[in-house]
Amino acid sequence: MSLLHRTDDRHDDLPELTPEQLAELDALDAALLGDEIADDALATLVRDVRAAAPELGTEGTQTLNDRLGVTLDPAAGRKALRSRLRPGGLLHGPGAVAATMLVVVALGGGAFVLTTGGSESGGGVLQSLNTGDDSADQAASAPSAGSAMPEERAETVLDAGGASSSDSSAAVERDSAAPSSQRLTPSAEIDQFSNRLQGATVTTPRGPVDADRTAGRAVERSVDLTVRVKNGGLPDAGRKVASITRRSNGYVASSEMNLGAAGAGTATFVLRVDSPKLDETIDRLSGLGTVTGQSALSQDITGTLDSAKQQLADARKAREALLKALSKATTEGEIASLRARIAANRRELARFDAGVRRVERRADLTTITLSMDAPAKGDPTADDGSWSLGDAADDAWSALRAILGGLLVAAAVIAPFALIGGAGYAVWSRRRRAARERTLDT
Amino acid sequence: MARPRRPTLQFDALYRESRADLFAYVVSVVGDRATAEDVVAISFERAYSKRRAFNPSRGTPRQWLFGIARNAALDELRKRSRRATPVADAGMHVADGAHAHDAAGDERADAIRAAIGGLHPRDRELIALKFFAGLSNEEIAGTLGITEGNARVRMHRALTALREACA
Repeated sequence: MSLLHRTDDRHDDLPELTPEQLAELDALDAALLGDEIADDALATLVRDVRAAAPELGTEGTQTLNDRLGVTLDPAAGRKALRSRLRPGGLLHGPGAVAATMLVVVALGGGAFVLTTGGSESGGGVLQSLNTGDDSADQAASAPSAGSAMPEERAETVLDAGGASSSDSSAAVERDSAAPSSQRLTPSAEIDQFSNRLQGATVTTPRGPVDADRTAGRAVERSVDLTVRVKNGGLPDAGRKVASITRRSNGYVASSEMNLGAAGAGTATFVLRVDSPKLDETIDRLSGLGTVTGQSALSQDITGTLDSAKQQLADARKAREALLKALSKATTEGEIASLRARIAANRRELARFDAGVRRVERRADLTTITLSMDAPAKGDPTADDGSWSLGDAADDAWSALRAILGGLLVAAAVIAPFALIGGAGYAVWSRRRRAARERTLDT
Repeated sequence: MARPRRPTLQFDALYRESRADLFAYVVSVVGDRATAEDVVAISFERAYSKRRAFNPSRGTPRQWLFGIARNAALDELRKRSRRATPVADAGMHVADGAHAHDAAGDERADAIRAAIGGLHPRDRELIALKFFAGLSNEEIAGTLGITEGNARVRMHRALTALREACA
């Protein structure tokens, strides 16, 4: 038996035992095992103390067995013991509480991620549409190419307060006799947006708004439209763009088309179309494929037009005055001077007239910048509206990521509480242990 | 190569081998038979519910069981807020009458019980763990949550106190 050398006692720093004391303890252990020892007194003490030990007895044993559900039949002992005693494991006690909390928080975190984080690109059930802003920007859903675009196109709705939201509707009423409809056509939204910027009163529209409703104001509009056509469909789409533009009393200001291999390519058109026909032109162009982007810009040029007209009017008045003066001229000098001034005025008139026409033309025609692209065959970003096994796999992966994100959120939520709880439990456990020990000292 | 599995605690055997010793120990701590029976039952219930958590690297099954019983007994004392009465005063059943009564032996046993009952509760607990339960010094240390060296020192002090009380 080695001497005691440890002094790192959990409680008091007790002095080490002497060899004699250690030998006495060894003799005690030997006596308890039934071995003969030299210390008769110790041997007698061991015998007497063990004889005085409280006995459970037959009755006490039976009581204990009954309480615990144990039979004395060895064969049935194991099963009987388990029938009464409470099963342990994770399904009970603090483990059950913790597991339940984890499941609840994980489900909550997953639901949170699914409802707010579904801004994935591509198709599938988790794709969320843009929910709109205060501009006239629109993000359409994915209609099939060649389908009836007006019924499937998302539109930005402007209410009386100027707030906007997007709604992908199945059927968009464009009937001017639909007084309950609050939807605006692109030209109307441009006008209303412009009016809001100018501080004008915005009224609830009763139907499609054309340039006549903006009588007295000149607005220059431009629209950017991005359309994706099917693979190999760019040449045919280009021909249709030209046809649509002509029907809109417009013209193609510029065009550029780049065709790649296997039917892929891009094309850009700058179109100038009659402003009153803007809505139907946009509809027809959107019908060439899938609209993937649209934006509109408007600029009120009424002041510029009024200024140009005023200049022209002033020049005309000046001409009248000069002609009147010429009729009253008597000398050759006066006549020559007046004729020179009339000639200069004529040139001014022409310039101002051209200026007015130019400004009016800016309002009469809307510029549409049309960008088209055709994806290559097998392009995963090309969405033709069908739902394939690949789409299912994408959706499954998105769902799995959402669930993992939810679990991560749950872990982040639980971790601080777990740390605090763990620290609190450690403190409580230590205090309980100390309280138990104090019981023996009271 | 398969990872060696943790030996399964043979709870049934542990129960049958330890119930009498556990009762004797608990009586020494709480002081009365009825309470001791309750504490022993509670101890086995707790041990059964935690049997899968038993780790043999941290001690023997008896050490683990007596540790559970110790906590249960101390909790009972705290709950009742009473001092552990000497074992001799409890008037416990010593034998079930299977053997012929020895007047001298009974007198000696009563004296021993009185001596044990007069010890400090910590010494009495150590005597019970060593003499009644037969735990080794290492097992006693694990049960009390102290070092083995400290356990030996305390054991010797308790033995000395017992010798003096029985003298």
